[in-house]
Amino acid sequence: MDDRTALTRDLTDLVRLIPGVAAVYSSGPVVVEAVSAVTQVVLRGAVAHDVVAVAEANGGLTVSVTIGVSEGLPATEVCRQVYDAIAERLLLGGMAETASIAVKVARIG
Amino acid sequence: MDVHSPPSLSQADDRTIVGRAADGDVRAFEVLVRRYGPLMRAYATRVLGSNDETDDVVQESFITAWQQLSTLTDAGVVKSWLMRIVSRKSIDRIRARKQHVDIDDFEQEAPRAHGPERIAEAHSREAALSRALRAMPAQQRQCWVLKEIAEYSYDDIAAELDLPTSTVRGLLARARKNLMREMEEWR
Amino acid sequence: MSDEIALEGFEPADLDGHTIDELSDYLEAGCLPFDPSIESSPGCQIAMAALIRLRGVSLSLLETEAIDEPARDDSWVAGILNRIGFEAQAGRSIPVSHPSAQAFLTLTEGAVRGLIRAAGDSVTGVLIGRCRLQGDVTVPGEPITVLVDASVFWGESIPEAAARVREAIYAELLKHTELTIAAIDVVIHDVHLSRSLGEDAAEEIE
Repeated sequence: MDDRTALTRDLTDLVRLIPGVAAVYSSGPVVVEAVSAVTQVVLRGAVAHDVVAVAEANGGLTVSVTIGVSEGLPATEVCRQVYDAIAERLLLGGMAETASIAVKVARIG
Repeated sequence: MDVHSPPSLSQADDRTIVGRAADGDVRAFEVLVRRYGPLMRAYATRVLGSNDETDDVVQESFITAWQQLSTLTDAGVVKSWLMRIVSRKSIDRIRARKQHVDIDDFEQEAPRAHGPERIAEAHSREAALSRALRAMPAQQRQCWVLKEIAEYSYDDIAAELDLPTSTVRGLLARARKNLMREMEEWR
Repeated sequence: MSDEIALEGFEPADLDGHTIDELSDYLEAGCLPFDPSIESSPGCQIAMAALIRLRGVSLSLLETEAIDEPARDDSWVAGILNRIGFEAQAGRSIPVSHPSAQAFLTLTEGAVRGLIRAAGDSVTGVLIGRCRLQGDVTVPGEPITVLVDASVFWGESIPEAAARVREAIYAELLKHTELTIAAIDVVIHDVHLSRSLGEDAAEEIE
């Protein structure tokens, strides 16, 4: 497991624990977490493996994550907290220059 | 409908369901799949001549539909829109088969055994038509289904099946005669 | 399969010189332009009636077969739902503010539409249909108009339901987004909640 894989896993765990975060979606094609309208079959197994994408560009590290948030807390607040938590972790980890951290909310409630 | 029950998605009209599904509501899309899936399966089975590939074709059709739903401006035509998609997917299968099997009539299979429910309705006109269609050469049947059920024009059928329009006319004329003769027996 | 099958009663001799294919084309053209030699021929009329019956049975065949289709188990439906993704419906990116220059925070338009749907559905007797965010949502502070299609169940007052839908949507947008909402237009399109589309009892409120 290289450093980036470790960092990805570390950040994914971090994000998942932030209050208000309901799901962390794969940065690849997001598979819908479907709840059947008629039968109430819950297809949780369909959710792709959770992942925070980490890449290195010439300006430094770029991090991106797509999340679902719960209804309880304001989506914008949760979004900012996810950013803050990632930024703090990178700073504490003595990471190289951070170019950007993108947090996308793809689902609310 | 019970006036006191809350509105449910599965009973909502097409406009509501299509609008929601186009906006990304998976539960609404599921309603669409359950509402029109059986018709699309019946259709694909007719065009393909057997039901071996029906499941795949209809699943592919719905995945295409999900991707393109936001381009559908009139929810009122969703049924015919879905039928067009399943037509195209079915024809793609037929084309793919043709590349492997170089004969005109690929399904020479013996008529499928009929379950008791099929026998029970054997006297209805629909059952007779169903039998007649099954017994027909593949191209005649495909032309007939595209023309009379999917309401394609001669030119559209010709384009879809890679045949000259004159051939399509000829195939349809023969299909018509075959079916008219069957109809004689219904009277 | 041959062109030579003779159809008793439907050969040109029985159809005053016309062919069954001509009659089929004539029917398809809506019996226009009016052809006296077809319209006055009893043989042609009988043949056209037979063609119409055949067409009718062809059309109803599928519907009947669809009813007879063995019910698909849920795994078949799940097989479809498992293979669809969010991307097609994600829409535009709606910015979320942050003081840091490294932060690129967004809500997808799809997420916001989902929020609007859930808010509208929470009003008794209402089912939300399509919804639109009008205006440039990618620019902070830009005034945005929300257009919502809704069905209202029989027995509910339409203006009241529409007002409650607007309130519910506004409250949720205020809580979860930074959008500047200029207006929320609710169009009630069908109070029947029936599966037939037919009449469009559209009534615009606002």
